[in-house]
Amino acid sequence: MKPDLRVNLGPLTLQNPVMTASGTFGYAQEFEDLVAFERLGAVVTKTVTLEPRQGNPPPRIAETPCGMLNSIGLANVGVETFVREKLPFLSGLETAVVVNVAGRTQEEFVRIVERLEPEVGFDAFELNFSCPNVREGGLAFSSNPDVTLRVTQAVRRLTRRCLIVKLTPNVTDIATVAQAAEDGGADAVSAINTVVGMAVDVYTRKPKLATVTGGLSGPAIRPVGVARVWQIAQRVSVPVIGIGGIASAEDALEYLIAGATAVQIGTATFVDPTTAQRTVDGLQAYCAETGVDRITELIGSLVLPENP
Amino acid sequence: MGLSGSEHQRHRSHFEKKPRRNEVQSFRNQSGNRRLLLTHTHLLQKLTVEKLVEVAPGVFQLRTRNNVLAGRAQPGQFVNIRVTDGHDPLWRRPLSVHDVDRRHDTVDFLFAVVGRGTRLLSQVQPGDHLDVLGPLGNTFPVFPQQSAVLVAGGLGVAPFLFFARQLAAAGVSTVLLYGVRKATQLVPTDAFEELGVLVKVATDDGSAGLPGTVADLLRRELRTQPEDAVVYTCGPLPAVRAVARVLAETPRRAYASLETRMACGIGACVGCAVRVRRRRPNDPTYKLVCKDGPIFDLEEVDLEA
Repeated sequence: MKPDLRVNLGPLTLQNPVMTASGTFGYAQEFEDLVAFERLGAVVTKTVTLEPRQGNPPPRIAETPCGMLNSIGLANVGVETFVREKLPFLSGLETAVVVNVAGRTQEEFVRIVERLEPEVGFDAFELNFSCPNVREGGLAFSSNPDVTLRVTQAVRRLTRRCLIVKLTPNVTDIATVAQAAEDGGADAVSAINTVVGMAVDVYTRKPKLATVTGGLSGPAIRPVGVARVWQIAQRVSVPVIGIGGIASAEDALEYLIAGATAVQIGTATFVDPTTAQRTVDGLQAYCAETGVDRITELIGSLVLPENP
Repeated sequence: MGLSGSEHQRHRSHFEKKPRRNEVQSFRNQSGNRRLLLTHTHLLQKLTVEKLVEVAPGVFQLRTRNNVLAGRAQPGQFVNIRVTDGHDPLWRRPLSVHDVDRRHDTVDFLFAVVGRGTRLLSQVQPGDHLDVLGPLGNTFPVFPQQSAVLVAGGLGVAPFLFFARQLAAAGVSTVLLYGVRKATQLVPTDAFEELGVLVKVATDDGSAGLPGTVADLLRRELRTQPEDAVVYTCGPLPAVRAVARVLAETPRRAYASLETRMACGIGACVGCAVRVRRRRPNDPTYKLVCKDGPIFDLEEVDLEA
């Protein structure tokens, strides 16, 4: 019997737990020639904002050991162009579609969700409360439980679609912020966004990114992500989506066992565009080999030492 | 480029059997749809290493065999090569297509060892397989009635051999201006000469050719080139900037193949941004080297930013 890979994120059922991560999969069309979309659990769009954003000056990226720094600055086409030019392609995909949105203020989050809500062709919102590379909003949101609660509540009133809140690891207590998102009515929380990092060119003595600091992603941050997801899963009852450094089914399994209901594949897609679908294949194989009938059996199945 | 729904239940259809992408493609092709549809079977390729030759100290010519890439690559395009199965270094390495032999299905690359990624690439053995994404990017424009001046700074010579072949086939009179720091860094240019390309060299230390930079060579060359000659340049940013300054004094139609840090190569990471001069207020401030380039009209890009 084929293992059942379906998982639920509140009102939304995914055919498998493997999603793409925002900002690493464009608006999916970029991967038309490379990825079998119908094999994925969900596609998450690059962050969409009310107005188009040009993004930060170059250099925007730097390679670091087993990872990379980025400071793209939420470059995107803006919600009107997104609806007109990107959403039609996304709506044709044979997989769930999550639209990631960001605003600088609560008002902007409300306005963008109001604008998108009447549109068809997507299944969920992911609120980006946690971009480290924009001056306003961004980090200020998900580092503050009160703001997280307020904005999540405001958006929750506007939609019955699955509502995901994406959290930053750049806080002292991520579980409290996750709790605030749940209290605000989020159907799921996703974590982690990138870890604030910096690299210096020692010959020019210049930072390797024009914005000096950026967000670290890739395999280097996986243990940070797994720990954060484990902490969040102890606290909240809504599903947790694990993100951070996943490049294989084994990496995804770490997150699921630590308490994640689903995962998102990010930076690894830049290296191998087929990572997400390979991860689905690997999860299927793992379940078959280890006698797991339903992948939900694995969620939070962590075997703790007797005297931790 | 050198090296460098409110359809909340829309998901119901996930469980229906859908034709695989490749089947969709072949159907569309049979129906005569002329749109070029690629699938991963085209863009993700395994190249077989044929040979690796050190053509100058630390500079390698890598010959690979792959019929799909050899058949599809166009002058000016690049590939993104994976240099390790592990995660360090993480990114693929972008390499422009140096030469293609369609009769033998070979694709050559020219690269210098500048870091860990290229060092790993310099250790491949004949028979090894390389995981490659490509061909990627745009191509050099060709003007059959006008002479061409190729301006290469160092490894910027890489994309020009394949392009020189295209120019020769089009009957374009071509000059290669090639600048390096010192003579030992020169990569053999016999293949250019065999195509009838006039090669002129400059070295910073005067150990070969004109003492000076490739920009100095260009300044001199433009005195005798017709006004409709087209300049193509590739090399490190300082060299391309110097070429742009010469062209500011002596305007010619000019194109530059640009190098930037690059992660995905397919326009998803949006990391390889280059500033462009906006003609209208709503034009974009940045374009992507991987998708909009690597070749840009030199007047369009703002290299001083």
